[in-house]
Amino acid sequence: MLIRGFKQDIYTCNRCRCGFCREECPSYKTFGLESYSGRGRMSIAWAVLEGKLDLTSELAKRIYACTMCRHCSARCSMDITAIIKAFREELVEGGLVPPEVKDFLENTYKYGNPWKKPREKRGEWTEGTEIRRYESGDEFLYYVGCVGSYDTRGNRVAKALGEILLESGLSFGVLGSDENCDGNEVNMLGEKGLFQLLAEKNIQKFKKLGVKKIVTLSPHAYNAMKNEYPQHGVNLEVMHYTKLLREIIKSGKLDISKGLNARVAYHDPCFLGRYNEEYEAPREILRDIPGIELVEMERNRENSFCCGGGGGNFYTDLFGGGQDSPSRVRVREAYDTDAEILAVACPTCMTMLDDAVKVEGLEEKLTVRDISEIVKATIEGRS
Amino acid sequence: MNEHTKILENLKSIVGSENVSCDKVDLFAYSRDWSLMDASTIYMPDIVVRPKKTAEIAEVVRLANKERIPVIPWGGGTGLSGGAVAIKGGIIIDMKGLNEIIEIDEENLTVTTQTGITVQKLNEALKNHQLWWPHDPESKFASTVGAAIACDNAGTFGTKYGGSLVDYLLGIEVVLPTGEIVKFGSKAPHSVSGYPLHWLFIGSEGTLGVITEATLRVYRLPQHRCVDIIIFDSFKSAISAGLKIIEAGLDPESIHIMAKEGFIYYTKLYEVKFNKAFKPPEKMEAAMAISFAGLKDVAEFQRSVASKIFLEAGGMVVEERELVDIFWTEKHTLSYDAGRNPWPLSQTKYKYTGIDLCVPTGKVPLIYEKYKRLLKKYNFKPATGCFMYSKRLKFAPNCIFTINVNDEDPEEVERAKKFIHEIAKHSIKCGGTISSSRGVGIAVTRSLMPVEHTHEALELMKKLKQMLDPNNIMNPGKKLAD
Repeated sequence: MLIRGFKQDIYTCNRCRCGFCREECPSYKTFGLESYSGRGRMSIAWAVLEGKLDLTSELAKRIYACTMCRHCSARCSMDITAIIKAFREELVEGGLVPPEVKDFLENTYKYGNPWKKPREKRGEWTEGTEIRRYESGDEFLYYVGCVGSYDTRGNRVAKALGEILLESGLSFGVLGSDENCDGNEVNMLGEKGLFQLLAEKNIQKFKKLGVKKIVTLSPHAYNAMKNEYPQHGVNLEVMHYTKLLREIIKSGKLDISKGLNARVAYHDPCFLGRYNEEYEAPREILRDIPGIELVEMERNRENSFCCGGGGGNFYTDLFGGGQDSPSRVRVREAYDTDAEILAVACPTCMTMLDDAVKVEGLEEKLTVRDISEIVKATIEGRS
Repeated sequence: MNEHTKILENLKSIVGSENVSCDKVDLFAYSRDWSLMDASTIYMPDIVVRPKKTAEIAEVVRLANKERIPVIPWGGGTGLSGGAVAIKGGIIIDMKGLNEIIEIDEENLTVTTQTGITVQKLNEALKNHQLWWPHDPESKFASTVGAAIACDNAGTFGTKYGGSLVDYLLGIEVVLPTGEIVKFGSKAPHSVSGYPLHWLFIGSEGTLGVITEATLRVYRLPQHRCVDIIIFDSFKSAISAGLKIIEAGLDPESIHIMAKEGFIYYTKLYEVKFNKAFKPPEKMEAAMAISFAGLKDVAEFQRSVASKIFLEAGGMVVEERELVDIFWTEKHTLSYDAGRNPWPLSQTKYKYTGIDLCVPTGKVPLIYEKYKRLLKKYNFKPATGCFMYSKRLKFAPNCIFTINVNDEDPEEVERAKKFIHEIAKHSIKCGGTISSSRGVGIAVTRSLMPVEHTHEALELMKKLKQMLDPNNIMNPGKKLAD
């Protein structure tokens, strides 16, 4: 839908100007000017609709410097994020996307991932493990996604989850080199044509293999497959791994009795929390592990602060890594809780926050670990 | 290099290039506030800067003064009188870069803070020390401490703690229009040793300088709070009951009286959440929200005494606790449910607007009657009706009269301005004022300044302004006539 389709909302914002969306916006926090907040972007949309502003590359920078974290939408009775997405679709149509976004989209189209990595290397992370290809009759397809497949830190998380799923006796497999990008970020960046292509190809593959249930490593893939794929003709049971893992742990199929003595703060990923309202499964897993003291950061659940990696920024890095970049703000917030571990449930958050811990010089004090890694360490009796 | 480019380069060297913009894409975000204007009106500044230090502001102001460029301080951009829009172009100083808390003094119950921090963020920080700043406007999630001072706006808890900034402001740092940085006041809870010049900047609406730091009186968080809503058949009886509460020696935190429309508006969620509609009694005209706080026994005792007074005064205490709680939640006073901000929903078709008057207490019923007559005369529907905070300790009625305006119809906007002008004129006739919490800015009521104030008083105000701001660069065209 073009922004004109949201005319009433845009004009309402221009009339109301309450600005409640502004203060917790990661983009506003980073860039400082109001044009980088929800309300500011609505002013820009209004000016475009009024014919007072043309679509330009400078305008595109403001619209793309947004992590699509939905914090603004959570504060407002209107879905501001949906309007920003529509704005992006218009910018894509007009060929006005920033070069970083253009590269991302082209690479994903050509290589199935944003880093131009060879498709055949997508499954390399499984080497040395017993994680195997999906076969007809397997209960679950374990969908890993681009970060888990190619990023070094993401690989470790993908492996940790795969190994604990094996340990639990779950019947599952991966697609390896046949896996393709899920398209969530493509969709968030407004390239709906490419998203449709990716979704349809994936759906075709799932149907061919007889996949009925999917467990995803990434909340981003979970969001696309759960909320967007049904519009492209498929009705799969999709779950994020934290939900499945919670069920597995409750059923006693994993021995976590060795416990882990640590003070842990949990960071809600936007695509698991605000997009899909899953706040409890990850917390329940952590609470069930003997020895873990779960603490909350000041901003949590619906009010959680984005790591800065959403909406494609993990790849495009339009936010940079300055003092006020979202990931650095977030790790400082985690550090303030005196937690030793910052737990995440998303490979994108993992990489963003792990890098930020290093930049902030907190490596000795705070470790970023995915919940799958925490569970694995618990089973193995490691700290 | 032309003049504009030279100024821009100078500004970049002061605050850093990333904190300056003259790009229209950025300027649109600063072209409107929440005030009454038709849907297509914008006031574009030439440049926006976002400094982080007082010294940077001083340099920006010195440059602007030398070049005779208007300077407009911008806080949350939620003003209702156009106080922060650039009607003559110039440089908008976005104050939100100055958001550090300098000192929380638990022993002496003060906070010293930069003024670009939002009211909400300040209170979040104070809460960690079991303290709070009871100033509590509905805009607190976006509006700043500096704007609270510059507009002297109202909050909910004025009855006990004082609703005016005069009751909170102990000291202040200001960048004068000629660029000097001056501190006024101190932490002393009271002083008569000089002129209380820190109070001069309360309600100054950015016309006398840029307020950069403030020392405010804060309070310990109460251990217990109890809230009630009481229904009355007239504003008069609600006010009378409120006065009796005070006269009885009770110490309510908040007495907030609203018209039926306002109460219904703020409790819409009751219907959504509980699928039960609030059925107002036939004769209901007003509702009073009242809160007591302190030790549990003390607060509850006061509440029980108040209940008796209300009954005697013909009030009806609302028994549905969910309804009462929802009012306080929706009013954004005691808590805030993310995602439930009702403002945008209420303005999908009409713009909320209103006027903030203050008349002597005995005249409130009179002006309320006038409001109802004017609604008919100008053919407007009440938005949230009329509501009244008791500002300035005990009982000083800060009355807001609201209407819904179709801002896409310029004729209707003009009609709304006439409505506001007429009721404001009536306020003066009642011995009242044209603004008690939102400022004058560029509002239509500005033309009534010579009616409310004597010629001599206005001349003195102008001289004062001229003395501080000889080149009239600070927010020109606002508050006082040029």
